[in-house]
Amino acid sequence: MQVQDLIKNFQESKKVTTVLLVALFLALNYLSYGIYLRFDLSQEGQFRITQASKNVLRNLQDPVIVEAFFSTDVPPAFVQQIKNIKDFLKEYAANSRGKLKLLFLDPDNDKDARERASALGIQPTPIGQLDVKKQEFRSAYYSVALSYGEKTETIANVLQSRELEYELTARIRKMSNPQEKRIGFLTNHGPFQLFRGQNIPLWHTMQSFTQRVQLLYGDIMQIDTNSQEIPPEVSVMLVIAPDRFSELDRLRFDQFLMRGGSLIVAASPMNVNLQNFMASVGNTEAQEFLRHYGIDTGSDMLLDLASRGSLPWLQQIDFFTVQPLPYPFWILIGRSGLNQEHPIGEGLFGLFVPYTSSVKIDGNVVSAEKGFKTTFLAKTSAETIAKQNFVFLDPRQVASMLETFEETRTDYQVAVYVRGKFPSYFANRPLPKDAPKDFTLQKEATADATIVALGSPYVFTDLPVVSVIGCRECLEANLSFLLSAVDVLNGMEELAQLRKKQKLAVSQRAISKTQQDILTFLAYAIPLGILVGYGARRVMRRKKLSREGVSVMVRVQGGSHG
Amino acid sequence: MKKNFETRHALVIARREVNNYFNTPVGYIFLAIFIFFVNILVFLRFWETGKNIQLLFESFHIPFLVFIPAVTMRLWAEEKKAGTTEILFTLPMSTIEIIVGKYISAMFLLILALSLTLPVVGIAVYAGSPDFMVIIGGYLGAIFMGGAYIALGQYISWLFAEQTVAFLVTTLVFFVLYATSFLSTMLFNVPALALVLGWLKDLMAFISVSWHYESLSRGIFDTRDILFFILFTALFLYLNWRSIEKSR
Repeated sequence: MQVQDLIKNFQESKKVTTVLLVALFLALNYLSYGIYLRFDLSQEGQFRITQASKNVLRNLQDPVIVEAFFSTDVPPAFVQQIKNIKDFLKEYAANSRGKLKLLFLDPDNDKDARERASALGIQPTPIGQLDVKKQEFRSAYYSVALSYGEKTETIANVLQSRELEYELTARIRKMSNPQEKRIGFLTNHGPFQLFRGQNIPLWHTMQSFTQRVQLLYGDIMQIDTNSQEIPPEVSVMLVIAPDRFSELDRLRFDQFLMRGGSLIVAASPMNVNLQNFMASVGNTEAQEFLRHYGIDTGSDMLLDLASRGSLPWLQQIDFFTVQPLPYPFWILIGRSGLNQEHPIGEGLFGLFVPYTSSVKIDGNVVSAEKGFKTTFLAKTSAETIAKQNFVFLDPRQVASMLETFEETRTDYQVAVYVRGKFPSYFANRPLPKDAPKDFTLQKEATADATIVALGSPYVFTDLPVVSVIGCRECLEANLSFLLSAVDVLNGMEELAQLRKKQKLAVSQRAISKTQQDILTFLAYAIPLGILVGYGARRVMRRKKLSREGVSVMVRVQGGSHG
Repeated sequence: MKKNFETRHALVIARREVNNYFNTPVGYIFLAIFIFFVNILVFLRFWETGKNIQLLFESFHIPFLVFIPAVTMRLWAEEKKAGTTEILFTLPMSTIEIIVGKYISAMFLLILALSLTLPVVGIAVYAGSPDFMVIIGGYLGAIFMGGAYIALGQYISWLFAEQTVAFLVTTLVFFVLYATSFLSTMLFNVPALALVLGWLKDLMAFISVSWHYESLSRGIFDTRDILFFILFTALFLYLNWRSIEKSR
């Protein structure tokens, strides 16, 4: 009886109930961290694991061990981000059907973990805060190590990772596929450089592309085919705007293709001079070489009048209005202009192609009947003009130039894909005089080779970041396209699928400053108008009701008097 | 006094409260100020950042700190000052019905305020290609976050007879809740405090309402965040009920 009274008193005690409820609030929230559901419905799909990753994980022969090194004591600014990364890793492991073992380690509080991190070459990242006890600047671990058999790969700072799923899957794919693949770059053949440097303009540097591609394929090998062979480990060669293409260069590239190598050529016969703002036909040796393989790069420069590319300079429309200068030489190709049925372009949202020539596939040389796979990858809108041989690029002259143009408007391909067993360029030609004396020509292709040709080398560069059309997103779009191309050419089509996850919202609509002002004004005016309108209607209604009330009262009073 | 809960009674209270908002210019002014501040925060960077709709949902944080206390301050404090509380409790309605009714009225005002930001969504759709799930998640998250704030604001409103005091206290509490993650950063940056209070930072991040809103505003529906908001709301509505019951 006493116990029952006690329970009754306990239940009736408001203070205890309140305390219990607060405790329940905290406990339920705490427990929810053990059992939870998460639905990532965003286009970006940060927490969705793609089928490509699932396939890679589930087809592994041996399990992969992922050791996630995270310090417990991290700056609060990173707490949410680390939670997201941990959640993502759990999701990633859960989709592996047991092929991925995930371990969370705290090297700050676990000596073994610290030693393991050290053995893997993982160092803590400085966080710029002072540790009072040790009188030194603090650092913390945000690293992930992947082990497959005896191979290990590390991501030193996952907080900086832009595409964690891609990086994990690509590394696992790389470790489980023992064939080493490297990317080569034709160096000493023109102004384009892999890295930024003094006196190298932004539009001649490929730094963003280089940094991304090196994540998976290691350092890009710089190869001068005038003086060296293409090493056998190179699977993809990049040829970006070569200013010459000698017989010896051709021999080495031809033999590279004969053994089944892949080539990405971004070259135009048009020499673009951005100092004088003009383009004219320059060296055509690369053009001639490609023609042998069924790819014809036009000696033209395209102007897409429907593309909304614009320059960072403003033009005065009238006394009150200025707007960005339209610049049809900078072509922004939308989703519909990309070949969505090809793994390179599939799922991508755009491609920014400045100063491009047209690229055609010659059906007489490469066709399906001859066993070739050919397709376009990107094309301009039907409102495109091709200006042949020479053109001024001065943005201030574009409008007057367009008035005099009589060329027909149509769509042009600016990126194409050709795959098959090509005939050797030297099958019916003599070997170059400077070829090595003991050189043995391989006239027949032993494996399918692939060529991806683009009409503009600027697709590879950091040029988009100087434009006002957007366009960090344009740079991202170009990087996605190019990295997908590299992945596909390396036989890793499933990795290209991962790129669909990226947020590549390249806006197709250019909004002038005047339009921006009008739209901004509307954002203020519409809700305020609704409020004022509703308020006025309500006041009038109340006045009306009030008047009706008075007249009823008058009638009632009048009636009673009568 | 009734003990059971009838929705129609709560709706009667809600309707009365909503009418009170719009019978004077106060409701309109609050809404206009909310829209004004949201738009300022959005259009500071909207055109420069590629018409990013995420800016809209990020911009709700600061206006909420002022708008919601302005809405909730009068829920109880005005009744107390006018001495209508006792009359209210003599109505054939339960305390819960009255509390829920008042809560619904504030939620109505919140949803109205959020719906007045739809022109920004329209502009984003016209000018770019926003992610519709982010839009839905952003608004849903804002409703959850606002709902949690309203429950707390309504509770604080009961504790004070002066609307101004209720407003100031609510704003302060909201600010602390909103800024716990920043505050913990500040604490963490002071070495001496970091030593003593370092362990607090996870808890502070956890109780930060904005921390739970972040995922929802990116189109990620996580049961932990939704549960937090529901429990937070339920807890303060309960505490409001307890306080009323205790004082009667």
